[in-house]
Amino acid sequence: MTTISKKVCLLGDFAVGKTSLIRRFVYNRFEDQYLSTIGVKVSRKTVFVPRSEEMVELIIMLWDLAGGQEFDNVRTSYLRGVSGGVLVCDLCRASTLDSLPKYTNELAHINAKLPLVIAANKADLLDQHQVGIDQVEKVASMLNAPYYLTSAKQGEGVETLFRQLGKLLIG
Amino acid sequence: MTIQNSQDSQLIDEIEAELSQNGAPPTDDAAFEMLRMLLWDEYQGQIDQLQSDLNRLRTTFDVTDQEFKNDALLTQRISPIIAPAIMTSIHESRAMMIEALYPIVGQMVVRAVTESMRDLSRRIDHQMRSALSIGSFRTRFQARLRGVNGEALLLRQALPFHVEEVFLIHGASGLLLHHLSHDPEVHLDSDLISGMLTAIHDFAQNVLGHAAEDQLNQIQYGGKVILLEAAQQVYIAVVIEGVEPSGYRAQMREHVLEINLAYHNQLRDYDGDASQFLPLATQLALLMMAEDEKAKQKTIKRKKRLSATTNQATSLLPTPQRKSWSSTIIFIVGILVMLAFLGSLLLWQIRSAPTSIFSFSVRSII
Repeated sequence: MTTISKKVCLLGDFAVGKTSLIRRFVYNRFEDQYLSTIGVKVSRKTVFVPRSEEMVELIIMLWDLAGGQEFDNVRTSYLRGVSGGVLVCDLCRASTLDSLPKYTNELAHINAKLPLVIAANKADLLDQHQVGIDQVEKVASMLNAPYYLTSAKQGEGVETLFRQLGKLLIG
Repeated sequence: MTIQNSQDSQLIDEIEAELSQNGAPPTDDAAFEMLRMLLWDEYQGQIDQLQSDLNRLRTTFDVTDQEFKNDALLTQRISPIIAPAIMTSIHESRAMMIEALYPIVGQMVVRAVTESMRDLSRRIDHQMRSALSIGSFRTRFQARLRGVNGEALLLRQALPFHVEEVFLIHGASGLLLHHLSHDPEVHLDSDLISGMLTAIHDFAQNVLGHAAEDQLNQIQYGGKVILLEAAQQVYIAVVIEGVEPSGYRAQMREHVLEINLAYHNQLRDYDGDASQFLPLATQLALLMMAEDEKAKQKTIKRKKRLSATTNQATSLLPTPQRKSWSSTIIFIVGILVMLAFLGSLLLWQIRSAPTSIFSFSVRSII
């Protein structure tokens, strides 16, 4: 079986649930304190993706980048060598969806053809939603990226998100 | 209108003949067509030629444009002229080139000098530790008995050095390319460590590195140190315990530059398949056993020197035993010589000054 490693960055505004998404399904070794000190924490997610007539073991090295403005300068250096991106927004805050094009532009400076997926997070908090599915669809279409409704709390959609990202990275 | 040459008149004749054959009277359109041909026929060939040239240029432009968009092809095209161009620039505008290269070369020189000074201070420190102390004499005696260099043993005791892990990491992505461990049974999350090391490296460079050459080259925690040595597209991280011997960093740098050069294309277009770097295991293993190798080489040199000077009788014995025996014999002979010297001195004292208190007391003892 072929083993391939790829670097993927998670981008999104503060408190959209990037770290929670990772914490639930991804192997962690390092403390979350790294996020507040140097603005990044690296985790690993392994998925198996079919490619032609074989299965590929894809090791996704997830760089969880702090969303605050104080890390805007360093964030650019963390994007070097990235192979794909997960754009995370919070369905309960409309502004987080509006920020996604900004993060896409940052990634486009590295590579304009990077595979991207959008995680519309906190799908379980239905009564607090400020963003409709049609709005997410519109942004996803504009950014040319598939979207997934996810809930870090309940685990909904997270595995599918990473699996689809894996297919995009290998395909 | 004046018809200026015979070709034109021939053309008019042909057109009129064609029109009369068709049986139709010459209309205004036909006359206009005739006039147009008269005026433009001479230039039509040139226009066609220009059109052809334009098409050719367009094709050339498209090919060149494609080449410019393809990084690898562009590099292949321009690399043969870069070196001569630089040489010409250096030759023609030396001062300007010095000014341009100074920030880079200056930093490199500073770094090299700093490292040399550090090595020098280490050597001086080592000399001060090893010279003229009872402990050092004992160590030298032990070293001689064990058949190793006294300085090497002293250094080993004073500056313990042990390589635990060697990581080869892709500079841009932080992905692990190869990893060696002193203890294969210890399972480190080497890929996570390489990612975080790269993040810390990038953070330090972003926050503290004012020049592109400023890089994090060491992280220390307790008795362990992570030594970092980077090339353009790859870097090596070595986890050690103790203090690295002089020259170890130079060895790291040599390896990382060699790897960067040999795998330049694979590193530039790295697709995440680390299996292509498996052949580097042997080269990286040299960093794992660097200390052992140095000690081994010193021992070999020493053995060669000894074998050249020892006599045939002792050369029949196995080497370690021979060294041990020769050391012991030298030690005993030394003591015997010293005793003989003291004895002769005593006898001389007795004979030359029989009335002295010293000789009296010796005589009474005898």
